[in-house]
Amino acid sequence: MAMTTGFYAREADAVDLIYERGWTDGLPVVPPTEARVTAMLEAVSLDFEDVLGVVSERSRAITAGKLAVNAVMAGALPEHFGVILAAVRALLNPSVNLNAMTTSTGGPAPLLIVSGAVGDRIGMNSGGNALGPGNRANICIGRTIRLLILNVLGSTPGLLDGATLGHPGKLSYAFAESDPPDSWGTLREDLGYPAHWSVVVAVGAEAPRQVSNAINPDPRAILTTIAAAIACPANNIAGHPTAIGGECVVVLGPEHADSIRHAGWSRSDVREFLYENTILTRRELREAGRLLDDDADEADRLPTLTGPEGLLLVTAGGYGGRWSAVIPAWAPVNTTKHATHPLEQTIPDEELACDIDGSCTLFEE
Amino acid sequence: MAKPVFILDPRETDSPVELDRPAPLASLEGARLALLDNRKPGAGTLLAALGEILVRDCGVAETSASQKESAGREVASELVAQIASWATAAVTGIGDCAACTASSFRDATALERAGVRTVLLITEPFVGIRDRIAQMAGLPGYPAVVLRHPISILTPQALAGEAERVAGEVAMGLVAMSAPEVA
Repeated sequence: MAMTTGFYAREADAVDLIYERGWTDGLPVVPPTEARVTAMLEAVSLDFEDVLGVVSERSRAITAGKLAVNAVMAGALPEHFGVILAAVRALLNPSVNLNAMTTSTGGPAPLLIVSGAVGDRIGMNSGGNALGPGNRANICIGRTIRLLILNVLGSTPGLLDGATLGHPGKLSYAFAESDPPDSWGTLREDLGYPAHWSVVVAVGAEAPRQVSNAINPDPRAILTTIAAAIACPANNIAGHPTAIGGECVVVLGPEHADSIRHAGWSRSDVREFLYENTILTRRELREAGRLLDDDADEADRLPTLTGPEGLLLVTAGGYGGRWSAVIPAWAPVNTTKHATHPLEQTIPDEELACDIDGSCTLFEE
Repeated sequence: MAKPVFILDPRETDSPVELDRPAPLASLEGARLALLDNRKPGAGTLLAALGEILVRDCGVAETSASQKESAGREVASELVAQIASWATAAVTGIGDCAACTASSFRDATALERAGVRTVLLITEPFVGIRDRIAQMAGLPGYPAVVLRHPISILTPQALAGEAERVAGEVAMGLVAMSAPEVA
């Protein structure tokens, strides 16, 4: 099926007609005309029918064409489409569990973190309000995924999307990493990618919890405050009796990051500290109202994180305040785990081998 | 007057897949019943109680309980093969959340593809999720036995009572010439 399904309308009427058909997330959309969709596809040299992957639980394939239609509707520009494509390929990784994420009563959203130079190149925001409004690339890239979930995967709120509450990130949830100075490292390097590549990291995520510590510059103090937000018994990854643990994104604001970096802490020091200081005891969980169906020792330790590697550390945000944010995965790692996909166009040819399904690996030396 | 433009449809259409459900058993007498627990609170207790009732009342010969990795993921193919190598019938659940229901539906159809007649257990708020996911899979009307909700807060005694309440319907789903009525 090429670009043959749809309807004719005057462009001025199209927005209301699209509302009537239930194809939007509640906001007005840009009418997806053939010219706009073609421009989107040309930006990545793909055809309308090219299949990006299959969500077998939904009996649905995701094609480049339908993705482009939804990207146009979201307000994205052709230069955003490479990042959108990488985001979809990351989300199609079975580890993310897109089917459960887009059905769950837990109401998670696909969080997209763009790490690498492509973020700046396409105008994404990694500074002040990185998690908020004001930037077309951030908002429209994230919104494209929401519309894809609605229109291609069929997750209509109240029908197949069974979220009890949902959260605002379900409208759009994308931002770029701000590479820290002094070669402190980046998220993509933590995940094993070269610094000169750009990648999209996808996480099935709860809403962000902003963390304030404005008066104590000690790294241990800042991280202890952040740890309290991660190990909050209300988080779904905290305190499962099976002690599996989950993943959590920590967005370090620049002033917190500066204090930590200047004190000589490495990224791995931060991850180790946050892993060790987010382990809860059964007693703490019981005191917080969580019922545990066993009679194990009350002092037994239940990790909130899978390990230090379960902490995804990102730097972003603006100067002028001492804030960070904690974004827990919506479920433990036996249900969901982040996935990463590189943007092929940011990788030198001699470093890359890509399979036909879009999965790419470094050439072995 | 402005010229009309063609607005492209952003949706994907359903792509039904074939499933010939295994025939109902002639009776549960001598049956080997697999109980697939999705790890939701109360699921193991309710399934165990259900197994005991079907042994007591319907002549099931043996039951075997197993757990899948996560309520939010489809059962591993290795576990399906293991169950199918032994069981003549199965009960799976409990779909008492949206993602759990979508996943347990997949578990039930995976077991049935492997030749094991299966009854899916869900709770009342997730009938609509079952309806939609079954329709997308090309299996509209795929049956489920519907439990009271919320099931996760019930005591073991109350779970046993719920098992007693639905045991007949579960047995009907396994042996009847027609599936239980779609809830």
